[in-house]
Amino acid sequence: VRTFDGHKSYVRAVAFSPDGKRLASAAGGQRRDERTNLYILNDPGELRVWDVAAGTGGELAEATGGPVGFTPDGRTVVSAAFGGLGRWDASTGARSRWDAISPSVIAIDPAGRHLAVFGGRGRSAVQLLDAADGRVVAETPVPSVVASGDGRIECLAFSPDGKLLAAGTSDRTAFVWAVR
Amino acid sequence: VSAKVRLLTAGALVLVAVVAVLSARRSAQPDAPAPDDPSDLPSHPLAVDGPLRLVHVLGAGHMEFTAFDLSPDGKTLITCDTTGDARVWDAEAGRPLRGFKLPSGIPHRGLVFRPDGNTFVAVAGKFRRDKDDSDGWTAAVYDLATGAARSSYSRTGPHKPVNVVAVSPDGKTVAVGGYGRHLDDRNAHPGSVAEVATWDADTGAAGKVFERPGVFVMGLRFTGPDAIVVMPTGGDMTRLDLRTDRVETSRLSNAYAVRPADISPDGRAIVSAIDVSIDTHPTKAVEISVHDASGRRWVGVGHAGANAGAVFHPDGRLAASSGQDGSVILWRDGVGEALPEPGGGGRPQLSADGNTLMVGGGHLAVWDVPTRRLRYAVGGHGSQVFAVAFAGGTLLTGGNDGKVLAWDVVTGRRLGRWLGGEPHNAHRLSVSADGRVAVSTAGGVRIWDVASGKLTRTLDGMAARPYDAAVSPDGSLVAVAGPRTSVTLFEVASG
Repeated sequence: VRTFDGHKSYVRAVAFSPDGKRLASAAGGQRRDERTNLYILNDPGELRVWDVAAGTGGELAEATGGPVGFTPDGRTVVSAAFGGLGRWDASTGARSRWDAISPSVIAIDPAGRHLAVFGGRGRSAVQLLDAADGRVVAETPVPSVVASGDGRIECLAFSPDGKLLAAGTSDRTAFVWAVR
Repeated sequence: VSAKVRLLTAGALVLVAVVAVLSARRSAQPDAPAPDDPSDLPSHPLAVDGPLRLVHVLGAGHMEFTAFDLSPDGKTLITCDTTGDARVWDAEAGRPLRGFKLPSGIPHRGLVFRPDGNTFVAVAGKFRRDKDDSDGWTAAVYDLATGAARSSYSRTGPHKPVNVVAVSPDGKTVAVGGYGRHLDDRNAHPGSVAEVATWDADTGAAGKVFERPGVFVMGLRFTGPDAIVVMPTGGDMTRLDLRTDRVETSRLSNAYAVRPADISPDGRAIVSAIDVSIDTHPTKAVEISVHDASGRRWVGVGHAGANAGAVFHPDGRLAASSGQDGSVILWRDGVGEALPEPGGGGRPQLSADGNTLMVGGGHLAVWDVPTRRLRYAVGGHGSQVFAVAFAGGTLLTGGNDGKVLAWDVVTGRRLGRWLGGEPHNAHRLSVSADGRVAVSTAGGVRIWDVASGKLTRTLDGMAARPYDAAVSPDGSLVAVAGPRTSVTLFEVASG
């Protein structure tokens, strides 16, 4: 239908707003330079929000291509970048929260209550954060079912009602948790 | 159930809906644990404090099903997988009952029930990683209830069993077929010797060893208490008489098959799966054929790729074959009927009454043969699970093993259907808010109809590998992270 250009680095993650009218994209992070064939580990990129119908968009913040998503009200963009988990106003780009964790995986509860995160320096548990204040409301280690596994969470997703949280692991296993 | 009810009343834990549904199911079937119930898994940390409570472990511990068999009464299924464990299942429901560690801790590639239905024979080779050959093999009779070995028999030296084990109709004699001396499985030279060894299932006493020219034994079948029919490579058929030691070999076909094939119940015909190249087609195909002493009875071509397997139905006319691409075909006199649901890409096996077809591999699919209906599929991913996404009451998981699997969120059971008939790694998954459209991303982007599991569109033509894709809430648009510094928007319907 159309192409949105403007990112300086490779686009790593995309997400639609809940009403489908806007699109958030995160660029940056690791990429291979096609000219020198070298890997660039922390290529600076940016978070952008696009108007799907008009094809226009603007830069929201600098980013490193981490996972990205909209909050259920569509007002806030959540992404992990530069060693922190940030939340930005989707229209103004004003940063509303910054937590000094750098998860490799995030999931946003469609019911708006929680954020689920995994990864970052020294963190080997799945954490459930309060969406409003970033407080850790629950934490669970990755259940080990495979003796040789390293118990790394590769992906997280909430069910549409926010009552279930699913995770896929490096150990060939997926888990489902019930969320109170 | 009562413990759960108390916990619920105390309000200490959890999402009421899920536990209520699980409890209701359990009270309806008091003796039946939920499938893949974490309590069914050894040494699993069950209790998780706080507002996150583990309700399902999906596909735990399974890598690849290496061997499986159905009990003579059709009620119990045993599987061995690449973890080296054996697992006992309720064969009607596809529900795991218990598991045991087999003593050797290595994958068992041959498994067969004895006629009594209370014991089974499993065989495993001791592979040495530092050498090309194996260090022999061990076969044992195991108790179905306890997993304890009742008798065992070993061959040491370069003898490697290859998937082939059979038990005599009276249950007393076990025959194991495999590679014999001069083993070099990467370079199948004509000087190789195929071997069949027999032993007494009750005492473990060694029986007889037969060696025949050939690379390895592909099929074994008892046609009486003392008569074994052996297919050493593909085209040869050998009759062994355990009483008189008489050996008769006849050549039925010149074809060389590389995967286990089968001997007809009357011991007169063989079904083989032979890789063929089609000049006009870039991929290989598989020729399934039946030969007997008077020549070729029929031949059919099916399965993309190579390394298929084929078995006879007890009626001797029907045969089933399965390919590495997951396709499963039932053949009658050379006319193939492809089953709509994929199998696990490994070997096929039919129950003694011919009513149940099992195809193992990355997962195990079990069909009712008369109705062609898939009863269930068990097992999970053979690799990292890189993507998870909910589509209503279904959880989709995408792996690095070329699979997108579907799971029932309430029961935790694998749904037989999953997205895609051909391998497709899925590193990211996105589902529309209405749960109808799913998008997977790995080397390319694929758009799926969740309800039917069918591929709607493939967006593989991009110059660079896309990192991510998202589907709009109404399922009409797909946004792709890429190529490179662009975000590309596609329409699901037209493009």
